Amino acid sequence: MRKKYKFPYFYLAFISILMYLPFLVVVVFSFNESKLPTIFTNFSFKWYKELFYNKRLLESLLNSFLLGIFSTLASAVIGTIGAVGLAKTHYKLNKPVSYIATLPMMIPEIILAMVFLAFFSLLSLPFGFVTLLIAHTAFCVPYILIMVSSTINTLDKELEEAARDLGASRRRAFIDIILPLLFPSILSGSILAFAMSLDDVVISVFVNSPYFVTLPVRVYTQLKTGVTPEINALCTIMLIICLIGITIYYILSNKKEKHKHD
Amino acid sequence: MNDDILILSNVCKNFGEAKILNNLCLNVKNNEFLTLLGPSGCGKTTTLRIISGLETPTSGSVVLEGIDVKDKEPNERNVNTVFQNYALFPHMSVEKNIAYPLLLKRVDKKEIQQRVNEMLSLVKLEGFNKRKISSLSGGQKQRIALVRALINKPKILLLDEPLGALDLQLRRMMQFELKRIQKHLGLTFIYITHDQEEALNMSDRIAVMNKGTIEQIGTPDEIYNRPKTSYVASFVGNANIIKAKVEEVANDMAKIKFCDNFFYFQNHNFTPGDILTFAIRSEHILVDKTKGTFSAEVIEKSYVGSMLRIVLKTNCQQELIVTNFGFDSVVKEGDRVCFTWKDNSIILVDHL
Amino acid sequence: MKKRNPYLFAILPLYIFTFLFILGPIIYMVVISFLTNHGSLGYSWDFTFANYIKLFDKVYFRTFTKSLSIAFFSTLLTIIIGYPFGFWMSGLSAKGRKLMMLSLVLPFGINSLIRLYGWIIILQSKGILNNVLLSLHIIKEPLKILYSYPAVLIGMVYALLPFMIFSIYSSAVKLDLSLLDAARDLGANRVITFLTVSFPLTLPGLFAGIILTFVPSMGLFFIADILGGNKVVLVGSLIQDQMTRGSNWPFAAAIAVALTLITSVLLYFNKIISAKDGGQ
Repeated sequence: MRKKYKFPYFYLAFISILMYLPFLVVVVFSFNESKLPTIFTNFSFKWYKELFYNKRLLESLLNSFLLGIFSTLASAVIGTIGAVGLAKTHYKLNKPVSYIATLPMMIPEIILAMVFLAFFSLLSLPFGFVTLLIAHTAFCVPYILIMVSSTINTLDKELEEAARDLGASRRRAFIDIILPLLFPSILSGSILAFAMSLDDVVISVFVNSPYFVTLPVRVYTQLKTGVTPEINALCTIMLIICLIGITIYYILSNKKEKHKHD
Repeated sequence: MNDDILILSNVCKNFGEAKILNNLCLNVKNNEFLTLLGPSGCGKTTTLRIISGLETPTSGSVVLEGIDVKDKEPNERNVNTVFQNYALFPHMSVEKNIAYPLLLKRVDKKEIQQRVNEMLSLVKLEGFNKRKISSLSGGQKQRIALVRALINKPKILLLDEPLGALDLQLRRMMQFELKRIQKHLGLTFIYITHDQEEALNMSDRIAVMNKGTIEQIGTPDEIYNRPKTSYVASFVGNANIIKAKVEEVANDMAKIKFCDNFFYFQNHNFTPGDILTFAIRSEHILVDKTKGTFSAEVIEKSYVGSMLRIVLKTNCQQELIVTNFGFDSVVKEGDRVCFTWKDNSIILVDHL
Repeated sequence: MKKRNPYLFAILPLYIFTFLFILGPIIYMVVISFLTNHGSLGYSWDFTFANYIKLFDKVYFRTFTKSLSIAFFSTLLTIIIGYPFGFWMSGLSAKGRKLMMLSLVLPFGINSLIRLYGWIIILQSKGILNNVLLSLHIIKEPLKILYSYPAVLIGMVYALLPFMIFSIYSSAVKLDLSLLDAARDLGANRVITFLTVSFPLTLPGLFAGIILTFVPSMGLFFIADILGGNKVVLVGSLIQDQMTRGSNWPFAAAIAVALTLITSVLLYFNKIISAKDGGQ
């Protein structure tokens, strides 16, 4: 802010508060003794206890987490070596393939969900972890692919050549030189992919299975039948965990900045 | 000839439609400092990359120490490169960079440490082991890149315009250092530059390149004083290229007509009527108000550093560049003057 | 002597995955849309355009227009709310920007469905909003916001606002402040400087934000489902319905294809306009 106008600050603060309003409500009511979210009766940890016993909800949380980790891993591998391969080869199909690979990010999720539903049915694949994994990997790959591709192009081509010139095989040059330099963008792409996987509702609801239930599906069905306050508790806990995570990140990155200036 | 460590025979390299190297032939002698000299695009970097293995020739052979290495990967050849932009690995420390070739070979840790320190003292950068690449200056980076390529004791060291990014002072100093190191270690250096002064100062031999072939290869003295083509003559040093016609021939002397007068030149089996191409270095032309065989008009006068530079326009409309050390305020633009050249300083370049 | 490019093996996984799990399914879906449905018996391989013709039925056509209108208004609202936010956010100090960015990112660690949950509590007939408004005597009867079009709108905007903000922000933060100084120096006041310098230069971010907002809004059926109930049926819900309850996959596929076409057309227009105005 060049001049001393105050309005922008107010606006930012106001909208930020509005965005956190739902969270505020959820957190407050997670401590509400009453089941109904209409009035606040007594302060209570009741719902946190209920949450602890709600095996199905917790299990679905774990499932979502596992799904996120594995699909991020799979997409990181496919996406990273794919990006490297695309940069180093000049096949005519490269451009179309990279476009198709990034499609999942550009079309409405519902279409993707429907497409997978139909396809897996066609192949008579049993719905479960594997099908969800494939679907999630499909929409995570674009994030990694785009991040890594853009970094590869800025990498100094001479670095890999120098490594090979000094005695490294192509494999070694990749492991010693290219991979470490790509690591930051692989990491940020992966974090983004992981977040998107955890956040997903549409695909999970469509491609779901009774054997592997993920969090959004569980919550969705519970919401349709009625409002369960354990979800408030769950949300509060997740909020706290994320808050801790982000605070740690903030502290660490400030430390790094300081270190750089030394 | 087993004095030749590297022989390139009829090497051609095409990139799509473009012919970058055209039947290039080069014999590199053991322990020599050879420079590939030429303008951008003449193919010198491509030649270097073919020698190092980073490119494969479209046709022709590359024989290193008697073995055809055309199909060998860069890491299978005993040739190392100092890249133009240094190509130091940013995520490794100085010592890790230098030690990299040895780390690949799984050399003993103690020996690595010793060799790294040796290399650092070779370029007077002792103690720089743990430093980060990003903290180094241009000159320091250049020296680290150099020793990283030397630590493996390669048979041939290739240097791709390594001094291009340095300022003049530093460049002069590094030219001296490179030459010293080459002699000290007894290696073969193949050096690329487009700076003829650098080439003349450092090389045992110079190969002047043009459009994918070598026009002439020889010692600096041969290249400078006995250029074989007008291209070589004008590329190295400031040469004026003139065309003149043979008038008469008498045994060992020929009378050559140029512009409004004649001069005599040694007969090389000329026939009257032959058109000859000559080169005269700008510093060999003598200008005077009245004394001189030919006449011309001064059309430009300027100073380049401490050098006086005059452009003359002869009676046959040819422009000649004349350079002179020291200031001479006698001639002005527009003056009519006479000129000739120092005895035996005119060089026969082409004979049609 | 042609050596096989050693990086062939690097792109192989990507190629296989893309053909098998993205291209294949998409082609299959397009094929299905031309098949004939036989209810619970599945669908037969009789090619027909019937599914596409059905799209123009009043009911279904209205669903499309309704979806488009929600998408349009959601996007509009996110622009109105998000543009100033992103723009002013870029003007904060480095620390401020970081903090603000983190505060925007924080909610994404929690599943979007759960994030939406809070709005249900707020918007219910017996919910907080009504309680507050009633007690302040602003209204006499509780507003029936939940399970209505406005509720869905609120939900959409809430879910998509961060994306618009990120886009605007990343464009605005690259603004060369010296350009603003130059404009002021040449006599422009703050408003004109904004209109002629800042705004045009942030257009790329705006266009990117429009894509990031409009496209998903056509597909986030669960927002319409949860906050709109049966009152608001959007394309997404329609597809889901046809695939599950309706057992009409060919028709669902046709809807999906139509949706894809509409989205592609809009994306295309967006690309053209942004190329003209944004410059790069």
